[in-house]
Amino acid sequence: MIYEASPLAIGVFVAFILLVVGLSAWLGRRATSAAGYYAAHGEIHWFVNGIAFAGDYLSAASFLGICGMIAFYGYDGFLYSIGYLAGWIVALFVVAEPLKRMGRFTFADALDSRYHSRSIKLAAANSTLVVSLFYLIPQMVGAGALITPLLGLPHIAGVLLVGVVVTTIVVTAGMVSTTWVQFIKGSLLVVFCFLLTILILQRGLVVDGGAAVSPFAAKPAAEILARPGVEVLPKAGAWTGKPYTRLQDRASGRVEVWREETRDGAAWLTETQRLTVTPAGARLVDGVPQGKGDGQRDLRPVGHVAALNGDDPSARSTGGLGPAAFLGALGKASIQLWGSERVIEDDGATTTVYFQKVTKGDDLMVAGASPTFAGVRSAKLFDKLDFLSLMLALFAGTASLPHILIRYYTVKDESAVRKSTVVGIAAIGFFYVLTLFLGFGAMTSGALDVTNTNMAAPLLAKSFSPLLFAIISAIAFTTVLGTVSGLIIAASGAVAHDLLTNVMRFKLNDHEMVRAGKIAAVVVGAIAMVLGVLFERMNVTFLVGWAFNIAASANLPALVMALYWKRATRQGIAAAILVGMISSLGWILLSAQAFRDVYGLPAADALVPFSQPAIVTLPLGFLVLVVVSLLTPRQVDRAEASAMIGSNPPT
Amino acid sequence: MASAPFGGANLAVLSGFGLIGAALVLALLYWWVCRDNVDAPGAKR
Repeated sequence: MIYEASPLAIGVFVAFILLVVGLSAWLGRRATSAAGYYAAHGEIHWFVNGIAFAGDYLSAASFLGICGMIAFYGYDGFLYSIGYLAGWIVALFVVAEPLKRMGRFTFADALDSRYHSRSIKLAAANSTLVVSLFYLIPQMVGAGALITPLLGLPHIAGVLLVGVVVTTIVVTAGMVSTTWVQFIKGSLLVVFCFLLTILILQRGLVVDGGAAVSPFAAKPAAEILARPGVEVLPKAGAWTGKPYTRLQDRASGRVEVWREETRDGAAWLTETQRLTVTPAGARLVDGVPQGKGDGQRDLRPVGHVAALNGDDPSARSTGGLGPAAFLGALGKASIQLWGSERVIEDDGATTTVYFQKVTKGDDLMVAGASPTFAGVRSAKLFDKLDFLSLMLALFAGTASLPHILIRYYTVKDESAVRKSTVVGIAAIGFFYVLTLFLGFGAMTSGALDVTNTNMAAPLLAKSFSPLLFAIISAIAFTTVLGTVSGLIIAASGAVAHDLLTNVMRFKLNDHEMVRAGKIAAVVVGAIAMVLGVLFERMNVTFLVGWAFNIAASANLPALVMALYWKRATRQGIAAAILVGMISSLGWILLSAQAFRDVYGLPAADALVPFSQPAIVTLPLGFLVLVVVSLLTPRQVDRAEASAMIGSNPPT
Repeated sequence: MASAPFGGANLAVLSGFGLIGAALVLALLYWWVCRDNVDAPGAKR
């Protein structure tokens, strides 16, 4: 779909950016020392830190990705919500307080506090950089994808805007300004998504989207074929064997493509939309140039209730509903979703045919409707393992993400760590409950872009008012800002504090360490911008899932065992990080998902049996740590170990 | 998971909400249980 930038959207967007940058610069003006730059002096209030956790964690993948996945596939997107939140229990119960007690600026500090080993710091810094980069790319690409519909600017402008703004925020005052950006973003996200949910419930479900949607045709085949002045084209070339009937208007020469279906034993044809990209790069919609002018056509918005199937057959709207009644009515209704199929034409043009897929609401409220989670309904063992592996990665990965872990150093003590994590869980959990309503609201809003799942949430807002669209889009952009700033500061800490100071042993004073951190932030920001441009056309949503897999496999075994197993040795910790990182990364690069989405090769040629590695590589990390530790000399005495894991001495 | 035991929402949705709610309850319980805990003296900062 073509989006038109409005002065209102641009105004709101600029106001949000100025508000966020101005507030963060003003609030973060005191951070001049290393403790201030990397850990905000440990003076952030626990409540602010808790909301900042939400701002740090709820990335573009959470907001745009989950809403889009629910809007297009139903319940499956909600599985991400559940998995993302469950990981916080691991963070609270297992990692939070010991990490605060043992670390200073980076999570490598805590890992290494018992060993003072350069190999651990090197391994942890590398792991931090790899995870941060995997996480950064989708955020930057998401920024580019948002800026195009919002401001009418090219992708590269969005990437550069985020890169420059975030680098400015981080360089201005490091963790202090980053914290306030994340606090503002987390608050805005939760409040406005709650407001949006209220509006969705007030609207209820409306058949055919009310007046907002022009319905797509679905008629008995005989009725369509009997139209005067059209002839049926033969199923030749790329269309051979496809379930489509092509009708050509004899007068204009225009071709319509209808999808063939059988309903109650009778042949039906349903209207499609198609987008063709010619070898020269021209874009055609239904055979005419894509655009809004005369002789041009654009893809129509989709996603609405086809029938309510309620007690009153003539009812066209449910009116306002409570949360449970909304879900109940949705389960009874028939929803018009859209599928797609790609056809490579004989002249080299690529045509994507988008077709109607009327689906029972009940089918959308259970797992397994999307390609990502189809394994849930599959009888194959590897498909089920793939699903379980992703869930394990989400569960174990949260407590191992470097940009989340460094936030434990920004409050004054372990009690504040505990309270801020609970506040974070409450805010994030509440938001994830809302995602289900936002996704289903978008699914039935009649406003979806059939080509872009990530625009579901902003377009849902647009179905209520242009102002809300502008606000939600601006919040989505600040969502990217908040997460990217956390990632850049984590990566800059890994470079300046772990690698330069602790591994390479550069003698830096406090001032020089801050300067090194700022230079590292600029370099990481520049790399992120380059990657954001390079990966523009790649489907990058799965990169976040991969980041969780790598974080879980590389970092969690080392973290848990360093904190709780007194027999762990420095060799064991370093080996676990490296083996976890390399094995999970290698598995990912050899997986069907990478073959299909990254290399463009047949998925069947993949060298590993399923795509998500954590179910193999996470236990492998623990195993390597235990075996290597037992094969190397004990390095920590009992008293030191007891001091590390708490006041109760180990028995 | 498709059955709707009460309130309109099906078992899949209820169990999802239940898991999110359980995480929050556990977190609050942990906060309450640890409310009197103070930091170990000499703990690193």
